[in-house]
Amino acid sequence: MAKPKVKIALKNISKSFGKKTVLDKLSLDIMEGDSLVIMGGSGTGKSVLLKCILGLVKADHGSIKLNGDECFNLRGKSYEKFLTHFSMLFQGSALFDSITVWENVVFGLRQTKQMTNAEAQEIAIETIGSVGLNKEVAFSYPAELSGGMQRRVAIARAIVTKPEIIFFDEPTAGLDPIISNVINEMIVDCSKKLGATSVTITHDINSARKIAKNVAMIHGGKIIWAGPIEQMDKSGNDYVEQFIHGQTKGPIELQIKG
Amino acid sequence: MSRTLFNLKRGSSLTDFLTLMLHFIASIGRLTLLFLETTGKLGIFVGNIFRQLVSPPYPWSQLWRQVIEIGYLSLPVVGLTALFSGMVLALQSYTGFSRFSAEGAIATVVVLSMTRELGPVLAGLMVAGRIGASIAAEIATMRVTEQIDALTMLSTNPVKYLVLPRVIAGITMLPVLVLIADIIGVFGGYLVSTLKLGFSQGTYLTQTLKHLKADDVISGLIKASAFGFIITLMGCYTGFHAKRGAQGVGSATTNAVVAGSILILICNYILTSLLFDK
Ligand SMILES: Nc1ncnc2c1ncn2[C@@H]1O[C@H](COP(=O)(O)OP(=O)(O)O)[C@@H](O)[C@H]1O
Ligand SMILES: [Mg+2]
Repeated sequence: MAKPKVKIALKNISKSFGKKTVLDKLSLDIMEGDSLVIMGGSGTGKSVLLKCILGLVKADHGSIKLNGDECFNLRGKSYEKFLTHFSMLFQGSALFDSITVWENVVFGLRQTKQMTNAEAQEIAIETIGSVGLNKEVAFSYPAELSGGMQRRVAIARAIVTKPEIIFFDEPTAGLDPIISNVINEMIVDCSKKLGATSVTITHDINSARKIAKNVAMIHGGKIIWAGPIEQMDKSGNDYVEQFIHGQTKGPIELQIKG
Repeated sequence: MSRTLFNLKRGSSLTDFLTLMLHFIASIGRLTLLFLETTGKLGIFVGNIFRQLVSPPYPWSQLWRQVIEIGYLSLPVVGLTALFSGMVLALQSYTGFSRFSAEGAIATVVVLSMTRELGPVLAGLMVAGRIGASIAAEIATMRVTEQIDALTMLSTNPVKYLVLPRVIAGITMLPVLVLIADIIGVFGGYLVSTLKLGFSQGTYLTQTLKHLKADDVISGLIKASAFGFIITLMGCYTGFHAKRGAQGVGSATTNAVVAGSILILICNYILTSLLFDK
């Protein structure tokens, strides 16, 4: 088997907001075709990390390599080109509420490709179907849908451009266990079909077990443990242990108090 | 003994005074820094808008929506404001001018005040409340719910898609609104003068047009355009830089209206003195 290639290489990424350091010289390699799950407590900077990679939040220092090319602080056309490799599912779905569901789904596609309304609609409805929603949904507005349905529309919007890399930011937060599982399966399916590299943020251990090939645990602005999902239970790392079992006593609590 | 006490007292009041002065200077310094920072950010923001202005393609459908929103839907508010201002102008100038038998000048006063000053300023302030607030709230909500990040991810420049159409619509629609406000304002003066003050309809209209120059109207329209820019710029800027959470949306909205209104009044003085010298 060919040795897996590093898709995204992060080195010494730092980010502070004012005096508050959120990422502290964080380094992480994301392999091509991997399904990586990033775990960590609330407010540990998981979303900020994804946004720093995408340049939506400007990191203070560090190096971000995509396929071996340095991509830190790109501007203009090269930044636009860089972004076409990625899709992101935002934490709150971030659907545009002034346009219909189908227009949301093909919004990105229409910016880069010329197509008629009918063609766009057809693609949208097909993609909406592939995330298990029926055709009528296409013509409603996002505000008319439940949280779970909105999340599916957002997934449709993220996969319709056939990206190489997809980021999912807490895809199952706020959903009931059954819908959560549907979403988990959808993420696995979509990534497999597209052959995409995926990075998923979650603090739901069950989701992690369903989705992950590899797991990285973030704490105190650094990756404190990373490895295959099978090794997570015997990581021997106190932080990971405590997080998996949701114990209230352990190093994480001490850190918060200190 | 009393001497040391005196010295001590003087010493301590001196240190008090110095501490106070230091605090004062520090807060002036802080405000200056904040002012410079905001001005710098605003400058970068405007530069960004201009960069988008010269890089097609343009989101025409967004522009059309904003033209409707800012131009057409502001008509009732601006129209009513102009009508009652014109009416009150006629009444008040009658009170003044009748004291030295110069009632003939009322029509001229109404039309000049409306076109040169009240039309643009009142329309500007009303639209700052209506449009500035709604732009700020909408864009700030999009910022807080990550919709602006989503735009970027979907190959769409948020400044081009959200800001440019609003600013262009503001610059072009405010003059149209003000022209309509001028006409309605004059009509308000006409109503009061003919129905209440007993002027003849013909005389009032001839008086209105007699001393009116094209410059009077044009200077008002130039102001209107500048105000349109200020209103939409402040709405977009505060919305774009909104802090996180519902509170972020709230303060963005307040700041848009307050900063917009104050800047309109400052800009009004500057433009008046420039156009006046000419
Ligand atoms: N735009 C911002 N301005 C200031 N602080 C921020 C900003 N974005 C995130 N933070 C702070 O960074 C920390 C990490 O946030 P985030 O990445 O959203 O956490 P999470 O791991 O739950 O996704 C939080 O403490 C948050 O308050
Ligand atoms: Mg988050």
